[in-house]
Amino acid sequence: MTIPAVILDNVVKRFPLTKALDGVNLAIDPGKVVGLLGHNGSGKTTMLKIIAGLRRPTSGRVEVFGMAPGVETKKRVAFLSEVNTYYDWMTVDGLLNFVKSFHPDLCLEKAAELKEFMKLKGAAKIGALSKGQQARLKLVVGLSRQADLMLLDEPLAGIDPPSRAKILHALVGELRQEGQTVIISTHEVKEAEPIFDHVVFLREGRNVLEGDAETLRAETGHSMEELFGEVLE
Amino acid sequence: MQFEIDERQPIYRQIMDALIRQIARGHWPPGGKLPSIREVAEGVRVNPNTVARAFQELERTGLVETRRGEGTFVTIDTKVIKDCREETAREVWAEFLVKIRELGFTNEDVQRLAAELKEEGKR
Amino acid sequence: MSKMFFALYRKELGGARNIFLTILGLILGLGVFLLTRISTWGYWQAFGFTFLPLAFLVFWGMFRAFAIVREEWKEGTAPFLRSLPVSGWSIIGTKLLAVFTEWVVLVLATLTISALFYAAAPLWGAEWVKLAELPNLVERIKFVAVFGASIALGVLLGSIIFQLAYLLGRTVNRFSGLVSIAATIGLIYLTSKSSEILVRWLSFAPSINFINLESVDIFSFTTATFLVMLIEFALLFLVTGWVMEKRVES
Repeated sequence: MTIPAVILDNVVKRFPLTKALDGVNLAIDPGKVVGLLGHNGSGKTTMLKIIAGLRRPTSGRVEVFGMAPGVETKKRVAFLSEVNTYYDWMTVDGLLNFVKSFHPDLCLEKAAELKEFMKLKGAAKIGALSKGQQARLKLVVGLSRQADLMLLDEPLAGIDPPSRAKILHALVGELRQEGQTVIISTHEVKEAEPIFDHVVFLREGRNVLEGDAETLRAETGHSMEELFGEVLE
Repeated sequence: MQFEIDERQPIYRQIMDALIRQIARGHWPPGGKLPSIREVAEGVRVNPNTVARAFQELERTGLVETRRGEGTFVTIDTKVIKDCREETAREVWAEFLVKIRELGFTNEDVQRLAAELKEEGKR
Repeated sequence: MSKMFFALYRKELGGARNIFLTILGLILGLGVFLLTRISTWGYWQAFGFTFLPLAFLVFWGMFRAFAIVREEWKEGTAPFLRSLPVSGWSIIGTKLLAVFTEWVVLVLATLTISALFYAAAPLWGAEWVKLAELPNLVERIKFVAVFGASIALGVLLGSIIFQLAYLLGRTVNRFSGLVSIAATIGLIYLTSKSSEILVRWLSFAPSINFINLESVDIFSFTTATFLVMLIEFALLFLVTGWVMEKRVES
């Protein structure tokens, strides 16, 4: 039996005024491309951050490759935040070298290809990049690595619509490492629809619907986009 | 391989059907090599996992076989291909019958129509 | 492991470069300014002022230690930093080390300016004694070393207190600022209280005596104070690293 990439067992995350997660149960098999679908404020970011070990659940159990989130799991996880979290004063190449010191799995040749693909200059200061370039930069950083689990929080935010489909397909296609588990949070389902193996619909901190995308299509005769509208409105 | 996918139906099923039609038509000859999972995934623009599933299901029909490290090949058993072709044809025929009956056509009407169309084709 | 530590250390130095250069510039600027004042203020008064930055640097060191942690949240880089596979102690340790490095360099820069001033005294015809001819030189050097080391340790202790207080504020999602302030007061109270008790317990620790310094015959310094600060620093460091790794949210 393989160890699931992620297990969430009745995970609750309470903030002073709200409950970001309200009892989420989830098991994700390794190698799956998972769509974490929900509107803004449904708890997607909180869930990804809990898996990444950046936030602690108020209650419930979290396991990443069979371990509680911590230094060991962080070696195998790439968390790509929705907003820029890199140091403004670093250059693109400086950042890649910095990350490589912590993640020997980062391949600089691949990073060079990705920089080309994303049209980023290595000598550019991160603080001087546009929002769109910063969004591409994190994809360069994340995809240059061979992380077993990649967590992408709204990766399409800030990317111009014409490039979106291209980047998405590259993401799960040629750029993805064999066997890598990917969790992508998004509220723009249409573009991302064909790349998901598994979908989780999140509403007000609960996974109201979850399952194999193909099975859901066969059972309901609906696309994920239609289900998104149905389940989450 | 390229085609429009219908997101309301299982995508692996659509890929599988497309491959079956291509094999039936002889686009991929007996013993011929199918494109790789990655190639298909890029062409159809879906997740390689979905294509892998289509290939697995296809293998179960006996129409193709996967050799480790080499790729996926169409069976050399022409009988299997022929059977598959017949079966697909029957499915298409059944679909056609459903549609034509919705127009109020009887079996006799269909035969008459077929003969007329044949005559027109000769001219 | 050491590679990661070094990368973090370099990152902290890199991130602090601008503010460090600014302060260094100010110190050098003050030196130049004092040079121009010698004619109006007189040599010895100007020389005395060359030590002024030291008083400022004591507070600046502690402030920087606090700021270098707070910036991660203020600039929104905390999620990235905390997603790296390193312990909280590495993060806190490299931050302290970087701030301490800068602090030492700035103190040395200040002292170098003072030394240059001193060496140049004859140029202004000031009454001047060669360092080597100062009476009780060894005792004086010993005093400066011990005094300097306890100030440095004090700065480190203050630094870790401010860092821990800030991080404790970060363990809650609301009223972070208030929690930090309360934690600062609480931690300062706690350290001073425990210092009293610990110093008493460690009364057997030897004293260092300085003989024939300027105005006093014998000046005594107990190493217990030193030990207590060391113990408190070590404990607070352990707690701070743990909070950074396991308790804060980002």
